[in-house]
Amino acid sequence: MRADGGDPGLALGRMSDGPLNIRAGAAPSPVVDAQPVLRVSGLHVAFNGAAGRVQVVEDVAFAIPAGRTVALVGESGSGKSVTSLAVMGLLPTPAAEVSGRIEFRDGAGNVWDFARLTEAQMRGFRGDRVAMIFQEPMTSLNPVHSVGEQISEALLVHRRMGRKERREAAIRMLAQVGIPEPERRAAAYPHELSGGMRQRVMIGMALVCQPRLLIADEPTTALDVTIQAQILNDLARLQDELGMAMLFVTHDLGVVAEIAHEVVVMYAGQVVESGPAAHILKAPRHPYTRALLHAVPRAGVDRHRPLPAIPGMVPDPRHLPAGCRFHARCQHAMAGRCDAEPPRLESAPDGRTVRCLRWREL
Amino acid sequence: MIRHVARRVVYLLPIAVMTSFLVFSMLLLLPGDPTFALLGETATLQERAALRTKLGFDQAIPVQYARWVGHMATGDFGRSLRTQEPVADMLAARVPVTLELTVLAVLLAVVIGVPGGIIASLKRNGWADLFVSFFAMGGMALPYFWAGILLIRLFALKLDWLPPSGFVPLAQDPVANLKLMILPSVTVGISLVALVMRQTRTSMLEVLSQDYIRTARAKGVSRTRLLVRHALQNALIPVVTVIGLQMGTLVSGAVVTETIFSLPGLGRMVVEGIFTRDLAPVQAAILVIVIGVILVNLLTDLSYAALDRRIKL
Repeated sequence: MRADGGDPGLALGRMSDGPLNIRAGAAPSPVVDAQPVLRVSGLHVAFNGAAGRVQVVEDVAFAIPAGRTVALVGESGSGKSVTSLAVMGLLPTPAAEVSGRIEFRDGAGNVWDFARLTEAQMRGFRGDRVAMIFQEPMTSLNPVHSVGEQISEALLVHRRMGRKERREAAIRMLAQVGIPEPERRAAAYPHELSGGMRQRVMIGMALVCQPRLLIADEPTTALDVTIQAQILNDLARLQDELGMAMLFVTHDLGVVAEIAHEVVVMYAGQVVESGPAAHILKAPRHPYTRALLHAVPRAGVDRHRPLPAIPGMVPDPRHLPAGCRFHARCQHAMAGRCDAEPPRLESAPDGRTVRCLRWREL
Repeated sequence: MIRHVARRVVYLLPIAVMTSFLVFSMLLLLPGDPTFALLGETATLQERAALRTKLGFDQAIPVQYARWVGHMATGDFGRSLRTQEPVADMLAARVPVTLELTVLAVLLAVVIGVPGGIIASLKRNGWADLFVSFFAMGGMALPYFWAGILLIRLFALKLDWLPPSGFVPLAQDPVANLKLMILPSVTVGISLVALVMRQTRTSMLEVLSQDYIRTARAKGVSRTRLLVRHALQNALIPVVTVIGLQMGTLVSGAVVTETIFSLPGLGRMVVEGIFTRDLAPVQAAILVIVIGVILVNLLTDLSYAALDRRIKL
């Protein structure tokens, strides 16, 4: 848990009986830039396909200051990955329609709205000031280039750096992300490395130009638990070293506890709850967040009891239910109210927001 | 790597032996008698028998085979029965012609097929893609003899842009040589161009949907760099395989094409030899072709290793 509140008593033990992995220096950053590095507001994404127009992200908003991490949380189909790809400008054109504001503040204080930049302009930001790490370290690296080449490619593209300098930078980066024998590894090909090492290479690739904003889309999901913990620690350390803002996309609230300052919970394309990580994990207000927290395996609970799962599935974005999008799966849904009146995102105490008609009573 | 090449060259030996056996026995099965070709229809039975004895055709077949293999092994390919020309000299004159024809055909496949396939993959379902698919299907279905004759009719007879047939060695007059080689290489190359185009399109489409392409885009690389460095290098691996595997087909195309365009290549050497029951040149030419195809396959394997480091030799 990174937030100032310390351990809120939730033993999100990542399947282990050990204590929660508390990040060193978890105290609030001394200087929180008043101007966030990334401010997303009113973000809508729709896909135009053979089946017609489908709205997959609706009115999403959040902001990330330098050195802080916002976790975008939700099940598959919640729109969290689409949101992160929209920020990077990596959604397929012209099928994806992006509207709203994606404001990025560069080192000189200029603000750029990524939703309005051309592809060529966007290319200048990607891999340089804004970088991304993907979920699958197995398939996200090019099999025919050495990892050294892949790490240093952004330096060629954005900095016009020479071959020798690039090689040295790649070796430094490999050392920085914790790969032993970096000189030798720089010449290795992805298939010669383990999954954890490949994800470190991905991280090195993203950080080589020292971005102001790092987007990590489930970077640890494909890895086993011990490697996951190491990678999360390394990401947190590198974030402190570089002072990056980080958008961390995950479905795993255990990971959120370890890395995030702020949490944005998404369901069926909408934000259903947001606020400081410590508060949300300690006292979730939205029934969906609660259900997600219940589904996290924890230490100290009877191991032989089946894990509580959320019944049902995320609704198909083409056939959204009337009223609250979660009502069909919600324990607290009230007939005649939750299935009729769509809830608005309301402000709650402690800088939180929640989208539920009954949050005050629950 | 060197060990791999050495091992593959050693593998050549048994293949060469088996090929020699097959070629030798195949030609024995041919109906007809070489003495007819040499002495004509009117020679007497005694004359024919005398010639057969002189040429050794009266001996037991295993003896004939052993003698032939023995001569081949010492580099003596024998002489043509018909012209008395040493077969080694015939090979020296004809191998370059067929080699030029196949090299030009492969060049066409690379220069037209690869870019065509890339364009089709980028304009998926657009008119360019439609054209490429149409051409690919048609090109593969087109028989060599028909394509060759149509090309001669159009470009040589109707438009008079290119000579219809004949041959001038490359060293003697490169311009005249190339003019004469254009139509034959198109004839041989058309199906390979079609195949390479289709394969390039398919593998580009597959590669472009891979995660590492998204990673490269996330790095902000230019479109050209994305296509060439990240997509094409991966997509070319199956294309190289297709070209390597098609070498045998290409040579069989050369046999037909050389006949249509009167090119003095290996293919025509085989055809003429078979018609006149002049066996020594046929056997030597087929052996050269087989070894050539095997060497090209070895080269293909080596190029995989250069393109894709996951492949270990």
